[in-house]
Amino acid sequence: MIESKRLFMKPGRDNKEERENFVKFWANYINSVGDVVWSKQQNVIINSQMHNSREFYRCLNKTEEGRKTLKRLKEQMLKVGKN
Amino acid sequence: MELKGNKIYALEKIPSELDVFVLKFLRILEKYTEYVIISGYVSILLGRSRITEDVDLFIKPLNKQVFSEFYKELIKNDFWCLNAENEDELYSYLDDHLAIRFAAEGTYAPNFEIKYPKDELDEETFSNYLIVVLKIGEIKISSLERQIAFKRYYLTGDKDTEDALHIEELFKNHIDYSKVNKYKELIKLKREVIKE
Repeated sequence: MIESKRLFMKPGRDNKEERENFVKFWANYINSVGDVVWSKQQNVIINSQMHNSREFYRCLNKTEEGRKTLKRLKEQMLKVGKN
Repeated sequence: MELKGNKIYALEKIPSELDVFVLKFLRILEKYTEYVIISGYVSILLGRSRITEDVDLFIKPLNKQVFSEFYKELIKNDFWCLNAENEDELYSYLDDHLAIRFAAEGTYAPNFEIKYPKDELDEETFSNYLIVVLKIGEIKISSLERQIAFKRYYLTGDKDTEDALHIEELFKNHIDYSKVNKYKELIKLKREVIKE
């Protein structure tokens, strides 16, 4: 792990500025540490989405009712494609 | 992460499950046609701390036979198309410049949204792209200037503006703003054509 000087973020005056300040802060953080350090943190967010998505469909597949819902979803999706 | 020429090296980046999934799809796709990834996943690949439901790609047009082989290989590798099951129908969607989406069998998200370029500005993506080099493979993305311009002046949502800001901050000394402004003008023209 690359050691770096601790960075601090300027609070925003409203939600928009707060979000933008965080985006800038995070980008500067990425530039100040090695790829291993930031990617490990980013992966917590991304991998949890992938996990949740898989679990959602896996759980639905477990029951007859869930399988019917999945079938319905698929049919709806194909219908949207046709329209 | 380091930008050198037309390559961004991120060899120490720990690949996310999304990166692995994207590369699984790309390894199949690139056997059949050229591609460039556009939109949200680009900023995520470059470190943005957010998630996405879809990965958007431009692909070069395929003939029917090649599309059929591509489709069959996707199905064999546990992908499914969210728009139709019939190859002819899917091919006609692409031909009509509509996007089609593929996801892992049994899931809907994340998915890959593939489409043909609609105009010269879209086609230009293929002559001006970057390659992100990960330890598990390489991924072609549209240029930083194009990303910034499209996010800021075409898509314009909060999420998009923040994606543009992320890229600008990350590659501060590498962005050619004359190119960004050129794209901005071309986007303006594109908007006018769409309105007509």
